[in-house]
Amino acid sequence: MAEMAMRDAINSALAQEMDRDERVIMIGTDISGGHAGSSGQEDVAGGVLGITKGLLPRFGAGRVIDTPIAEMGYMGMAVGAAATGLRPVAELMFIDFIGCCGDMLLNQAAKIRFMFGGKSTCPLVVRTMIGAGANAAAQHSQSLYHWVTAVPGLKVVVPSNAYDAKGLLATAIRDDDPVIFCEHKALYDFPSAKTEVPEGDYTIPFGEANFVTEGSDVTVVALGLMTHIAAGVAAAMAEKGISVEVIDPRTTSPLDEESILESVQSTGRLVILDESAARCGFGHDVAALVAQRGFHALKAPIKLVTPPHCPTPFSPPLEQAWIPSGERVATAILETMGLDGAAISAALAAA
Amino acid sequence: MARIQAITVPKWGLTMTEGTVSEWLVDEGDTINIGDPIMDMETSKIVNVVESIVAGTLRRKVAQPGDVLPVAALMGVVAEADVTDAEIDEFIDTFVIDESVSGAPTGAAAEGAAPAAPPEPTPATAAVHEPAPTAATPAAAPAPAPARTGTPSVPEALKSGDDDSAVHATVHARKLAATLGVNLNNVSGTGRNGRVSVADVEEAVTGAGGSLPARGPVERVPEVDAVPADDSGVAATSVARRLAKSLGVNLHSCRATGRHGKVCKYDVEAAHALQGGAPAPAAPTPELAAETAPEVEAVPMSGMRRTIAGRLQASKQTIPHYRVSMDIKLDALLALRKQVNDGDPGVNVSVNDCVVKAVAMALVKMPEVNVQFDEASQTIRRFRDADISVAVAIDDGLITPIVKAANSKTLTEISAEVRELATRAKAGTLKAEEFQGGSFSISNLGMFGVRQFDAIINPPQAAILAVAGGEQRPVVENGELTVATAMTVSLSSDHRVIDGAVAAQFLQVVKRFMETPSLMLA
Repeated sequence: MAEMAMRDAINSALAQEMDRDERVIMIGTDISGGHAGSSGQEDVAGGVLGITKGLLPRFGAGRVIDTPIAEMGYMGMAVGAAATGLRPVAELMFIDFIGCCGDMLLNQAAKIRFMFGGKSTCPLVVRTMIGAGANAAAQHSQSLYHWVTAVPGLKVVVPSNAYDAKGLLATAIRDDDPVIFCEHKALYDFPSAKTEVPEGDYTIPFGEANFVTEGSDVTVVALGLMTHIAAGVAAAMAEKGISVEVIDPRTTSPLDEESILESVQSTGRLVILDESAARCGFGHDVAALVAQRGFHALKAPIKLVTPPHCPTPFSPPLEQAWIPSGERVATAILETMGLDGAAISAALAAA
Repeated sequence: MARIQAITVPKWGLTMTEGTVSEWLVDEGDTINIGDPIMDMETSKIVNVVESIVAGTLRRKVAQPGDVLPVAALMGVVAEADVTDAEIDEFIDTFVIDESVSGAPTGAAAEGAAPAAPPEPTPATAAVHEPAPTAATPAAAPAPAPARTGTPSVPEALKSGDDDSAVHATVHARKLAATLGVNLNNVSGTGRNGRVSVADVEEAVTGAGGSLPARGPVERVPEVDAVPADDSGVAATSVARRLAKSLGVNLHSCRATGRHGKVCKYDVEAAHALQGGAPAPAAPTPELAAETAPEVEAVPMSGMRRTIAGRLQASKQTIPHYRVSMDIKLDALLALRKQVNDGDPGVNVSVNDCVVKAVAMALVKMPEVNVQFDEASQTIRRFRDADISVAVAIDDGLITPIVKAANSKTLTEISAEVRELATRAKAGTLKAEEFQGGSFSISNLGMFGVRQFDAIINPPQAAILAVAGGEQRPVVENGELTVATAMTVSLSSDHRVIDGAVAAQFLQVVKRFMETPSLMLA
């Protein structure tokens, strides 16, 4: 088994699935080109971040369809292809542009199976980038997975490492429902997202959380890039004798409610680290779940650590301040442990 | 091993409550082993063989063929050779049916084995026999302590099986199974993709007749310092934030006096000083403090003062007060009062009593003012009668005894009642119902020569009348300057329930009653 970056794991999953099933095609802006200057008929950059590099020469322009920047058009094309027998993997370069293809995804793809009484399916995968930290400014830094999670009919994946990305993408492509596959742009080359990835084919079922660390004092739920921040804090907390269980749900729809509830049942404390939103976000959904069904196990109020309720700043220092920090997670954990402000400051200073 | 063990009536299935002994298959003195058939027993449904779950020598057959016995009743005694007959007699005499067995099925019972009741130790048996009745507990419950005391009991049937590492289970289900010794091959998963959950493991254990300790109460983290440690959400200038960080001041603890409600440098320094981080520049020197201290005496707030402070502050802060004032000529009223007082030496009606009467009559005429406002339910409680709270000054405070249904009382009745209530208010002997409630308040400072003042509403009431002193004033009537006795009253109203026009009309009615007091009789 080779160690792979998440970028290469996604590329290899795409190649594997296109090999496996000729109905799998790719559609998206610049997926063979990139950085402008491409006709779409040559393998220039393989997307702005090179994720799809090498697929055009291997599978041809008939299956790797480079499109103009016209989300409404190509997403409609992908939904139509999915409804009529192909298994398209469309790339929405940034999830921030979802508004441009809102009708196709939210009102067509998500509803087809239901509106036709199960006689039609929509095996569409939309790969899209999420996340702040790349200094890409407010219009290219959102993590809108909570938007799509709120729409029944869509499945939503937020992988956090190379192994999960490959297994979950294979599952997504083989799934008969539309799947929004949210790749955090900071994770493509993130050191700790590099994992051993089997060369052969494997799938990871949706709705099953990964326990990044197991622990007995505090449960931390985190997705994508946030799992790595949580894992770092968990390691630091372990040195203080606080045992943190970090759960990566991997998919927000379906959500592994069971694992979260079981974990909170055993720890009695919950901190949710979520990049989606300060209001009405994924973290709030998890908090509501536990408040409704895990309340009696709670020893302390649930803590949410999210960005502030403002667009992602462009200024690099401000952007870094906007992203939930390990210090804020550690503070939240210590608060659930019953430490007061002074004790927390002391504990953090000692770290 | 317990030296004495019981053979008891097994429970075959949920509905079994008793069994009839058909025939013993062993004799006293026989050595029996676990699983040996020892008796045929008939229930309402079947005849079945009772198998022993204890091993030893059968010393006594307690049950005889034909006996009808309840579940868990004693049928025989197994004991070691050195146990005396007297000890066995005592065991039989002190045997108590274990209600937990007779009442609930066990896994072993359902399979036809005989779950002998543990000789649930009454203190007497525990003292005479060996302390641990372990060996006599059903095979299905090998735990040393009864399940209800908190130790799980897991049926053996769930423990065996092939390697279960490939069974699809949640992390916590696998942990629980490992703790309980349950093999996951024996558990049906009900989760997504057939995954086994914690609930599935628990269900398997209880479904097979085992039990799990109830979860104890959760010990909650005590509420700590209300100031959250994370102050990144507090609006502050960057200088203030840096300073706060370096001084270890939480921005939540700072006032925000800067522009746009931001905490500024000064606020951080002030908070730091308050926390004793630096000498506060404004602090008096010790010498100065010593000089000035005697001039100020710290008087603790009495309970009544605190109540007054709290209620009136809340009233003033939350009720949208507005005031309407009116001058009222008193000459006709004073003449009437003189007539009444002169008529009976035992009567001394005051002007305030007349005000109470006039206000009560006006309230009945204008019920929109005779109300309480229940903010919580957003309802206006309109009263039939005018229950008038009269403010009475007492030592270190005031209290508002109520003249109930003042509209239906005569002036002399009102006068006597107010005097009596005021006397008892000063003596502190009012009952709660005599000063709690009321639909309207009157506060009168006329005796101090006050010309006009405003009062604060006494919630949940919606209005209060401030009555100043009567005095001779120059007035112009029909173009001529004359002298009249007049006073000024001010009505404070809660605008949420009483509008300005209503308040003004109410004062007009009060004025009409007081200036033409015969109307109060009409």
